[in-house]
Amino acid sequence: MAEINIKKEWNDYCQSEIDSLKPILQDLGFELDETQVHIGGERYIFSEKKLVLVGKRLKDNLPVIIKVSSDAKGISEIKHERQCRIMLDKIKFAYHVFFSPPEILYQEKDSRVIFITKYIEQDCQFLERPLKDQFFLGLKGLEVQEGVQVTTYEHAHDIGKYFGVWEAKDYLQKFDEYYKDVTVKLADQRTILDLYKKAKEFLMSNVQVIDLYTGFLTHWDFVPHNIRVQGNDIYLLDHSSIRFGNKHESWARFVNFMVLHNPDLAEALLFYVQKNRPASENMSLRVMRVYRLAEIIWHHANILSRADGDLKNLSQERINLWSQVLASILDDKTLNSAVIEDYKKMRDSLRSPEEKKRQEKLH
Amino acid sequence: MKIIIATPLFPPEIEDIATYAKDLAEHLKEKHQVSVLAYAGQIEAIPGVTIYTINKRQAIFFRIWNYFIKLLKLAKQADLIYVQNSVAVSLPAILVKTITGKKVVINFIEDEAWKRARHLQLTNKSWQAFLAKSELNFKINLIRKLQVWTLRQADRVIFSSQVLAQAVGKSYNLSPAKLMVNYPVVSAPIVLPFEQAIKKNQVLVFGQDLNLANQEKINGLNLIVLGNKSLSRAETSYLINTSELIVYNILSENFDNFLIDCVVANKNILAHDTSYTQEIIGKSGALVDFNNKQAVLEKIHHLLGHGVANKDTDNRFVWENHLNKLQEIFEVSVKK
Repeated sequence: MAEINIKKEWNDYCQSEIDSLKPILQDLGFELDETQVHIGGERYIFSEKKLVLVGKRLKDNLPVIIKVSSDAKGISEIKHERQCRIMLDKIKFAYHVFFSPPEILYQEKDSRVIFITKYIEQDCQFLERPLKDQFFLGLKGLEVQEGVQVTTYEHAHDIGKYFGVWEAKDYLQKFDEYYKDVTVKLADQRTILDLYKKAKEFLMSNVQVIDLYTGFLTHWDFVPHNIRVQGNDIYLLDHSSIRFGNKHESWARFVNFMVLHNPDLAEALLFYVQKNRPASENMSLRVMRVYRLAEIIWHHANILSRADGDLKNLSQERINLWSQVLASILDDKTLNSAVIEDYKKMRDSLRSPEEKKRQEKLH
Repeated sequence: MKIIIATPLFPPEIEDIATYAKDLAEHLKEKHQVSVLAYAGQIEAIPGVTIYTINKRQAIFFRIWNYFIKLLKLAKQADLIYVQNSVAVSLPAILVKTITGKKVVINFIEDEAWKRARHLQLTNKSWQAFLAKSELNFKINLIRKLQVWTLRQADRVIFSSQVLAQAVGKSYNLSPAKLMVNYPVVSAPIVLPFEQAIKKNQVLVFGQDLNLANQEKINGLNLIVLGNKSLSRAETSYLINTSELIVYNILSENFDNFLIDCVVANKNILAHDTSYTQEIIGKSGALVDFNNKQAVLEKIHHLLGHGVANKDTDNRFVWENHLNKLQEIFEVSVKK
């Protein structure tokens, strides 16, 4: 489907959903804000028909986040997220705690799910904090996850059911799916396919180290836009991306993200692991970074196949960037910082004003 | 000597009990034949040490039974079983001792009943208050009773301080002859990617706020109160290293090594005057009655200006001393 059609379909869906939602919310005592940044920009290209909206409670003007969907897949996602959230609340963390924004309303009615939580204010966005604060907050968030193992937990059965438990074979199987898909979608990009081949060999030769660190709670999308920081407390905004798997999966996602958004923080975290953890943990992190990069390249390859114009060009640039990061990790070499800077310039020239606005609110 | 380290946890688990078991095995293997038995799925291997595991993904009865059977087999070839305190380990170990007559030394690393009661939010009492009067559900009561029974049956029980040994010995009615003290080893210093220079007038308060009313005198001090904040070990270490003074505002034993970490880091410390702080701090700090706010403030300003006189390097908490003492305890236990 051409990008213009996908965008139109998304905008029509958003508009129709918001039109239907407004009177319902009014009856429930809520209203939507005028501007809704989370549904703008590049959001249309993602397939999930789930809206994340901002609004307020009428009786006290309390800012809230409203997740809503009338699409079967979107409904299922919201339900799953709520179940995970309830399950996470039952986990008695050994060391630290993740907080969840308080739930204000949950309603399943007339083929529509509405899930409202309190909007968590934060003093400043994660990436605007001093490097040291980012480092310690990130580390704490990652250590929270390392403190929970499925095997020692009394609700192990339920945890497995809601969150899923991944071992090395699951990571390899998922990698194969990405590889197969990318082979079709990037058929003419030989260098990238060669990288996938090399990545697969790397993963296969480190199956033992992947399994050594499995069984831990891991948030596979642990990045600043999925958390809010209030004082010293970390609030988790997305509960659907939790599973029990290799504990470095969340580390990998966080570090890979920071390679682009704050390379100094990525370096600081890698330094920390290198100096304070056994060699096997360093290797496990490297392996998980490779896995997660294969996933992100696959993700952009999917967008590339559906996008037109600037977004298509941007998707190709993203594929090129993450491929260079992947190559540097496979070769165990430092990435030239110019690669990141050049990409950022290119990205900013290709991003729409709407997307720039959406990004401002994200991290 | 052929030694079995019987532990509930082992790395990659990250609890102190797990990392201690691994570090200890690495040190003991230099002089002894060491094997480890742990409840674990995966383990970080140690060259030269055989690590046996009992799968945790089974009902508790079968878990403990399988641990017992494995320990029984291993014990036939061993001189001594060194247990890291946990009923799931100490119970099978004492049963094995009953059958084989092998010596059992328990390392009372923490009070499991209290720890579990806290974890399950059944109590918010301090350990001492919990000892005096516990809120116990059936499970915690069972753990407590089994813990007491196994401690009484052990050949030796090791504590991390004299104060702890006396308190547990008295409360659980243990024979004084089997109470041993071996100071814990502080973990390896955390290496951070930042400079950690001491910040002038930064005072780290471990525990609750000091509630010092005299704002005028507080002015100029950068008081960082840890209170109930949950920080990563790395951040705690950073705050210790960059603070000019540590105020230890804790009255009761809580099984963390914060105070010891500060002593080893050679920090100036101000603490409550208790038997525990007297024993651990030695010449590293000053002790004061915290009810007297004026005295606390004066001490803080004095210590910031002058530090502690005649502070010695304290080497009680290093591996060499820990291993020597352990060797002594093992030898006495085996000869018994």
